[in-house]
Amino acid sequence: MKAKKTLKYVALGAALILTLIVWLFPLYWIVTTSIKTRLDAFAYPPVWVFSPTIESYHETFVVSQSPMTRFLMNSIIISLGTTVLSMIVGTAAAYSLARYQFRAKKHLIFWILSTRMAPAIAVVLPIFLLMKRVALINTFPGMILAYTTFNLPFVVWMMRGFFGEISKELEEAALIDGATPWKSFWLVGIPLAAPGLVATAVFCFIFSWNEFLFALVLTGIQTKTLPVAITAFWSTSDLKWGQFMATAVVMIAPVLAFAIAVQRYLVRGITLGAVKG
Amino acid sequence: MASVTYSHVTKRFGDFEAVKDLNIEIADQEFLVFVGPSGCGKTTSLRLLAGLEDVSEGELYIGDRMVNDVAPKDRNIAMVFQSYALYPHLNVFDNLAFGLRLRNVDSAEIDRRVSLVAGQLEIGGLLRRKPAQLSGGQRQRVALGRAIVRDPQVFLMDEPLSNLDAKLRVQTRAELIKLHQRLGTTIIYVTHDQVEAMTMGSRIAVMNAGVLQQIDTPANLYNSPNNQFVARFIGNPAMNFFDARLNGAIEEVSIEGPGFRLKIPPEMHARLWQELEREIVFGIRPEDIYLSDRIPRDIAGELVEARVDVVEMVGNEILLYLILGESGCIARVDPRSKVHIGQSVQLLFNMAKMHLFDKETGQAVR
Amino acid sequence: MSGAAGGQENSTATSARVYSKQRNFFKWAMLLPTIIILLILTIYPLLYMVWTSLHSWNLTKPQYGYKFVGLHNFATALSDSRFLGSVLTSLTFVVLAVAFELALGFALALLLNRARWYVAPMRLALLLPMMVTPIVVGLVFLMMFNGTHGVFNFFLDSLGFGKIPFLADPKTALLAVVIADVWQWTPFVMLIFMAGLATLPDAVLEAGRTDCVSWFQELWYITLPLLKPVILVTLLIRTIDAFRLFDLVYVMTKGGPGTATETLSMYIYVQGFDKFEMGYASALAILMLVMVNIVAQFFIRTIYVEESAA
Repeated sequence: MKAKKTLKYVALGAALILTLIVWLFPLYWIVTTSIKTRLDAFAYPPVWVFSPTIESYHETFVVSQSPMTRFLMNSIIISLGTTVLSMIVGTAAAYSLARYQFRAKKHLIFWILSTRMAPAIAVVLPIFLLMKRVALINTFPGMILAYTTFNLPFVVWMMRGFFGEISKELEEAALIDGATPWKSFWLVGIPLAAPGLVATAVFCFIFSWNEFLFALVLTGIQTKTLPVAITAFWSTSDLKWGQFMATAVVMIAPVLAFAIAVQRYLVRGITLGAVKG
Repeated sequence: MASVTYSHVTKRFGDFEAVKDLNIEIADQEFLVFVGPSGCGKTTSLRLLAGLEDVSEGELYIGDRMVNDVAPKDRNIAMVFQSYALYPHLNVFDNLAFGLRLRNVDSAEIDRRVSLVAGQLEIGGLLRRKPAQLSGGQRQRVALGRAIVRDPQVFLMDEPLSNLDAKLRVQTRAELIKLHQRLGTTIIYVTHDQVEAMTMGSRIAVMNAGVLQQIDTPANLYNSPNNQFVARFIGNPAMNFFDARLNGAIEEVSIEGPGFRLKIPPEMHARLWQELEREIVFGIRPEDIYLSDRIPRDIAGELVEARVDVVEMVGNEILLYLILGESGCIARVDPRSKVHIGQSVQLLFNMAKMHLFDKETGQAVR
Repeated sequence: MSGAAGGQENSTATSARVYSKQRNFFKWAMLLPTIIILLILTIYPLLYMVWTSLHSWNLTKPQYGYKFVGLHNFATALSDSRFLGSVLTSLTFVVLAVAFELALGFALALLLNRARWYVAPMRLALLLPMMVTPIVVGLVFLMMFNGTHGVFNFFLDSLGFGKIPFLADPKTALLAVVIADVWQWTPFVMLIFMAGLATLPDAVLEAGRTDCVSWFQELWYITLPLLKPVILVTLLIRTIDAFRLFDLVYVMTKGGPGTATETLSMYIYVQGFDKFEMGYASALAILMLVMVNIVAQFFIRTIYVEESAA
């Protein structure tokens, strides 16, 4: 019996370690390649022990006139911009939907779900054509608006859920105490929904930061974001793996940090709360 | 003037009528209790007054002002919620000061009033704490304080004691009564507990299924319930009911029920002469039933045979569950009585305290 | 101390506006910006795309202009073997990826469905792949799958299997993309199943445990049926997401070699932003929307039925 149990534990341990290896290896690969010298990065057979260097980061971001830093700024501006816009507009709408009756609620739910399911290519085609007409291609406002297309319904959906969880009584108490509907929203609703606000904002930022197709189609040199910029690396030269991975690290580091911060809301955020999590 | 008037007030949620044609006049400084089973419309009536729900039909007045479409904040009312609804992100001081700040009262005045009220409610030491750090009783007092500090014309209270444990509840009940006397403000109070209603209200409005059943002083509700619902609702254990018929002959009017025949005292004959042959419900409270061997000196009545089913010794009295004919009833008897299960006993019904109700409508027959 | 008309408090009475009007104004004012943006960014473009799909329009050849062709684009699509091939490729991808993700994800969820010290840190480690930019995932796998210098081939070679040119061989290219997608999204499935398992009512599980002899029986007869709604939701989300995948394909293979990994999204991209055939691309996009809608409707109906029955 004991042998069977030990075997069980060993198998379990092996499975866990294998899982960790499989899922962390590529990340390990990215990080280590980013701190290898140019030679080491491209070496075959791969170099497992090496002396780390930050030359890739240096070349990519610090060297003057390196465009990558500008692309980083672009990503930040656009992601922040769309997050702010979507959060402000979406939260207000979410509150209204959560607290008041509307006859067209079903239509709204349908809209939100449909934007969640629509293929990006189907959305970007007409938006590209329309933006071309009003000269919004390769502009920050244009990009921010374009991203708002999918961020806004997401914010509305998430925040509606969060507001729904706050007991109405607190806002009613505020109304009786002397608050207008607006003040009740601002002084009671918002503070109580703060964790939800933060989590939703983080998700918006992450989605926008990681987005590729819209950026590919709608940006030009001035507004190019990191995901698009990094693919350019590959086409110009496949020997710059170190720089390439350094950019990758810069791209994913903030996202991973944020994600860890809001991991509690992760399942809810990605499934739109379809599964209670 | 802080009177409150409901004039033909009806509230509908879709097709459902939660409050039907409510007409009540509440005087200034009165302590009115809305009581009834859950779903009876008492909380909705309160919320209509608070402005948290819109009146579907009818008019609502505070003082002389019609407040149907006036914002809650402009009605000069304060409310204590069942769950207290304290702002969890603010400390006790800020909770108390919330309403005052919204009305641009200057901060010196806010300090003064908050300290005063906090002192009166003995929560002065808790001012820097957040609601999560308070006990149930403390939170309740903060909720009260938040209402008092606004100095409103009318206080609304929605089952404020139901979340407290039994002992604290009794204590707080007395405190609320004293508070009313001290503040002299009109209080509208909602509860499902009839004991609470009876002990606290100057008048009680009994509601059922959205309809006001009776509004009266506690004594009158107890002694002269207008219908069977009120009779059953008020009093614990509830009144006993028997289906019966009113029979009459020249000298005698009696109630004939399954297994008994009770003569009605002569004083009441005249009134009931019209109702003869009628199908009625005969009601008598447990406290008005006595064991034949322990009848107090000044009580007289009719004797009935019954069999003891269950004996509950409560300490200061015994609750006897009896079988009479085919029906059951409950009697509250002297704790020294020696009865056992299965025993046949003779009961005295105090006919002076009897109640009659129409079998179909439930209305009292007087 | 009865309230003397609350004289001490400064009145905050609303000017002239009656309460119900004030509330109505508030309710709509808060909602309006969203509705406006929704109309501009979602409904209008959709209508515009439908309109465009009825025309023949190549952006690089303005001399041919903008011609109304009715449903011609759609007819072309249905006989376009490259289009049909891309749909097939997409479906193949979806079936492979979702099957692996669901199986692996569920297995991992079962593995971690216990209160041990290692569960929290492992969950944390496993949520990282989901948040990595899909482009980066594609690029690192591109690198690892490299036919001559990739680390996967390094391992294969060391073990004596020789090197496989993953992305250059039409037979293995799609599989490579599948692997990348599975790597990224299995943790997502795992998280959902973990949440689902955690909410299973203990009482039912224990009752079942006394009836079942083996862990397999418990799994098959009790756990899985109870998890049906969760499974369906996960299937829905992953199927739709896998079907519309673009980033990985673009970066790893650009649809190649040839059209071996050309998914529908990729093909529409080629038509729209490589060849700039706006009319045709629009028609294809609409067809894609219809497909996604059918799948979604099917799932949503099933989920709805499940929930009503529950």
